[in-house]
Amino acid sequence: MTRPRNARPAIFFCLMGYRGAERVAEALLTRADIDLVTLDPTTELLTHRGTPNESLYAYNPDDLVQRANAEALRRIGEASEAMRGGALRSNYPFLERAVVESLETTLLEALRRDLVAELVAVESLHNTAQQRDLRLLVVSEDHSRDMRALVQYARHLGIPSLQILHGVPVGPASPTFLISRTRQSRSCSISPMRMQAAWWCSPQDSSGGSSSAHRGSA
Amino acid sequence: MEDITSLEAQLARDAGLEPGLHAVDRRARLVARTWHRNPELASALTHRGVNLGMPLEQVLVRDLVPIFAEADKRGRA
Repeated sequence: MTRPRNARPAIFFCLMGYRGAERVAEALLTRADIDLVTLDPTTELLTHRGTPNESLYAYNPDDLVQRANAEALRRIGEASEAMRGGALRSNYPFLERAVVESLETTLLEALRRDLVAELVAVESLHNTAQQRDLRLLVVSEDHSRDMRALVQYARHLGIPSLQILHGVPVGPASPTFLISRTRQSRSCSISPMRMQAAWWCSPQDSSGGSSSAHRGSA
Repeated sequence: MEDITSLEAQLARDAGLEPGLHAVDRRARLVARTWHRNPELASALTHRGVNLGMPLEQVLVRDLVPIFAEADKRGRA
């Protein structure tokens, strides 16, 4: 996918359950000439504070969910066919037949439960990336269903992702701590020092920051 | 014919599972991490270059543990 011309640079920003996320977002907007693309609950948090942001769903067609449902049904049918053909039995010959049958049932149930949401997440990022010059994904984790799907698709597009780990306090804490934690993130693909320059040394932080920033994240 | 015990151990190593896990945890995590790699399933689940079975790993472990716990209980009875 080629980046759209004349689009302003944007960062996808979603720190779920991350105390102080709004301060990170506002520091990013202050320090860099970018727009923020967000996902709930971050969209709601920033909008409530009056911080400019745009939902990841903003560029989706009205019938996206309907189309994702049809696509999921088709793919679940193919997966079911593959399982009937012995895909799992050949994968795991050391498992009892009854166990494999239970696995097939459970995995198909999981697909019926989750596949539509995954398709919507990937399509939403695809639609946004066609309209906006997405430069980076900032996420608080990449193990839950939608975040992992988004990070994987961003990687496919060549867009780096940055995981800000839980437990990193957002506010006047030690930059050394931030850098050491950041280096552990396997999604991290920008220099920790650039992160520091972007928001860690913001002037308001040097005077102590807010009480919520002191409490840090969960 | 390959020994199925060594095959399971090899699959667990290939999947990056740490040694010493209880069989229930090992099998639940192994399946959650690898089921979608089967070529036919990968073909059914890959959308825009992403295998959509992979992001389900975390929720699937929760779904799969009861299956292997029940099998483990049957095996011990």
